[in-house]
Amino acid sequence: MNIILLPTWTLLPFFAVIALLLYILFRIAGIAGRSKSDHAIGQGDIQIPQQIPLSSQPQFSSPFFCNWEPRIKIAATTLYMFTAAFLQSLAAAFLALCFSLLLAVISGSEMKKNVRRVAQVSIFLSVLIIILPFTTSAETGDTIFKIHGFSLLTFNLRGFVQAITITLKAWSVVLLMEPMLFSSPLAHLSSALKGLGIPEKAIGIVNLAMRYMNVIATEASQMGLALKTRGFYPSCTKRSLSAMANLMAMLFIRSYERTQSIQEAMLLRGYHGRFLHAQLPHAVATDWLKGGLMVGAAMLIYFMDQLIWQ
Amino acid sequence: MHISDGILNSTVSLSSLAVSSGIFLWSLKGIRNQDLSKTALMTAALFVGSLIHIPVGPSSVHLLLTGLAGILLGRGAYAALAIAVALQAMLFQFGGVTAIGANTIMMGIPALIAAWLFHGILKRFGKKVAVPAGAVGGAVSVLLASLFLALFLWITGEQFREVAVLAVTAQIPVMVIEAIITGFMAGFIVKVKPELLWTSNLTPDDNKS
Repeated sequence: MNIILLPTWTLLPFFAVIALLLYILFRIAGIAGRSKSDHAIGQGDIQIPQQIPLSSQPQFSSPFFCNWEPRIKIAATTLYMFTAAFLQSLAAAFLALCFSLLLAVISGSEMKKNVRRVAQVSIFLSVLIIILPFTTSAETGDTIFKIHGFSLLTFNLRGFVQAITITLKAWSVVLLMEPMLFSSPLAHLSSALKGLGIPEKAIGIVNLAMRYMNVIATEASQMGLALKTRGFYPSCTKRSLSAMANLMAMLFIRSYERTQSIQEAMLLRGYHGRFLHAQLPHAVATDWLKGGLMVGAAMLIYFMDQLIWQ
Repeated sequence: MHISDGILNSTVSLSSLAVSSGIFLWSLKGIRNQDLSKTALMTAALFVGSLIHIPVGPSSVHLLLTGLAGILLGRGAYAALAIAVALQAMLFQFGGVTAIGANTIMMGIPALIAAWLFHGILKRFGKKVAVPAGAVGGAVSVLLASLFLALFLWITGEQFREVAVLAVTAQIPVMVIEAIITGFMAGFIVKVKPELLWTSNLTPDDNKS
């Protein structure tokens, strides 16, 4: 075990860097410093997003992802994501991240959205980066940093490397989300899910939930605004919590009341337990080639992780 | 309270996905065709409701609403929450795609237990105890969800054990807020729209009182 003793003042830059990184992440993720237009109700109040980011059309155009048969695209990308998430070495995680970044660039997806996704997931993972180095127990061969005057505070480099590895793996998964989800119309995505063996009922729930999510979000915003115009200011008092609970209960009641008309509309259109799905384009050799490329890359990185970098 | 990508090892991730898929299919089977739109809209409302921030001191928390999901959807709550968890992971990075199995178990099983508790209490004592019964459902669901989270982290590796303890401790304020809000919501729904509950265990006399 290699123990390195550091002077006490080194704690200051460590926490300063962590604080700065967290601030930047919060800003990019849009959690801090949001403009008031992002929410129906402003800062300090109930925060309800006005729009859930869904679209019936592909949100970008790229020959690689948009022309890819959705079933093969979802299957291959999901397999790649799982493989990336199970990597164990820092080098393999970095390689997976490079490949994901390359695909994100090729996909033509909006980089701003990708960066925002990365920042959002990094906020959760920053807790691990702060905690893991201090909670990983020392083993033979580990490098331990000790702070002078804080004998119980031991910074294990192995724990830090593990936290960074987890972060890189998560980034490599997150970067493929936009290309996988938003390069096909929603109708094709649900057809692809059906083709991949997802039960009909589940697809029906997903379709209807996605269809009405924005309607309900808008309704929640309007109800929140109505509450605010009556002089309501949220706090942690019994009265405030009761008012917020009533607002949310009304949201569920209104949603439930809407189901009756939806059910009738579905029956009028001949619904008898099955949804009609969009016809998917036939898979051609290029689709299988792209799928093979992605699965091949996943396998290559996985075997390098297991055989070389372990 | 979701697990991100890259944290769980392959054994925990894949076995939780397999178990969760089984429960998901069982839950889905319990949803009748005529209840499909109700389940879908409740899923959407749960999704939107869980994005609402409730102020707690200088900070704010967002609700899990797992207890409420159980109260409203009963057996179907697991399927609804699985879809909500998947959408949250894909649209907002709340939890990882590769940890969907674990995250669904974490949210779904407490919802089923909350449903059983709430409807059991209501059946025995009538609608006058809807608020405390809802509060019990809400609190138990958050407590169980945080214990599941701790369990998954605990079995993933020894280095996550302190994180697991921290995760459970951090959920205590959420548990209190969730209990209060779920209690008030359950009381409101029982008074205004009792048919919204999964199965109305209230007798006609209870409804009159």
